[in-house]
Amino acid sequence: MLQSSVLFRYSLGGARLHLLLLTVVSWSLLRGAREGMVWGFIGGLALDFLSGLPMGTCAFTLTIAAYLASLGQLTIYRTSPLFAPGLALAISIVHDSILLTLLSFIGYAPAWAELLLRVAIPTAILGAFVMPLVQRGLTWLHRRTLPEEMEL
Amino acid sequence: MQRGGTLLFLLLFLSLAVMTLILDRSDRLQPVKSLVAQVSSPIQEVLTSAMGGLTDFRQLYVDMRACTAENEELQLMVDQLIIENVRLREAEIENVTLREQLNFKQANPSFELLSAQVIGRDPSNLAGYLIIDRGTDEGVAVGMPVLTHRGLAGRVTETAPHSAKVLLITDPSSAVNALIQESRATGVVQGRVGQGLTMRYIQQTEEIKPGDLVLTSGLGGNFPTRLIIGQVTGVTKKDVELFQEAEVRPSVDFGRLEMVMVLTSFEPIVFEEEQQVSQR
Repeated sequence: MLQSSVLFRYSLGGARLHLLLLTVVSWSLLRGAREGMVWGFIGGLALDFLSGLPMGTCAFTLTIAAYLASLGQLTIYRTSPLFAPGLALAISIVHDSILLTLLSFIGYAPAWAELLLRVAIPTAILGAFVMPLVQRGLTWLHRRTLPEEMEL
Repeated sequence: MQRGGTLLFLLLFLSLAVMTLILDRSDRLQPVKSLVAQVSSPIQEVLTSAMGGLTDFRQLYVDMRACTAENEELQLMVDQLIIENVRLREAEIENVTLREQLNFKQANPSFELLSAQVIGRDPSNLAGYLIIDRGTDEGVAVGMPVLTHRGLAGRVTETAPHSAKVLLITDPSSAVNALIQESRATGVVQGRVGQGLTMRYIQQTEEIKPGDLVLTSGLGGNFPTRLIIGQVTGVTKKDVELFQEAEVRPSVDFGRLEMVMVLTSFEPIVFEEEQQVSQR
């Protein structure tokens, strides 16, 4: 709702904040692939209902984004403060590229170069800057919602 | 193993997404979409209007600051324009005065006139004195008549290199030989306290009436002839008196005198010297 009704108003050049993508990426890093993909799918589906794109497109791309983000759990650099922003930047570009490819397959004719240069890359850069804030918030939520560890 | 499970999970969700896409392309999801839209649109409206209000408020604040800055700028401009306006108005008034003086000069080509600005007055207001910004260095001498385009104002009584004192005709110690334009009756115009004039020593047989113009007669040699002094406003005629008198309103507005002209081409006749010369 926020993505669709609020965040679209605020743009920095061609960049818009893709809060749902950042949330999915961050959650996947925290909770792993399965949970990330679940929320990616559900969030993507919700976004499909509210956006003008065909149903399933955002669900598809966010699911893949969640999976790719979860691979970051295995790297030794995951504790670096630049890791999450860098990952968000990369996945954002991949996400938009997959979305454009999907749209091309289903009959849309997106202007690849223009959309990538003027929208996708600026959005990815903006997302990288905002990622630490999102991650901080979700880390708090992750700790609050973690199942209690069994004491042996 | 776990990795294989994750990949399976991924494939499952991707398949679901593709299925959703196919169903949507074949318009089978329309009822679901309508239902979701019915639920979400009121919420979206509330969010949009709330954010709109916030945006408007933010814009209002930005606009207010811009307006304040613009207001200050405009106020400064207004102040400058007021000053400019005053300056231009003064220039306009000066222009009118100078034009009148020029017309007077053109109407009296034999007069050599020197324009001067009034830079001081008698502070007590009891004496009719002016100080002008022309003096001996500019050719002003004692005894020279001082006029405006409206008529006679006074006479130079003291000089300095760059200034001079002028005794106005309204000063009680001033006396100007005059005549009535219509009847040619002669008399002496003397100043009165309160910037008025009285014409005295008019023969009882002369006919004078209010409205008659009073001019300099040239008698006595202190002033040139035919300079306007003023207009008769009243006549006092008593049988028991030797002479009649007339109230004269001066043609010059002495209260608003800012610029005058000194008649530099006129040399007053000094009778004492003339007598001494003739006696020799």
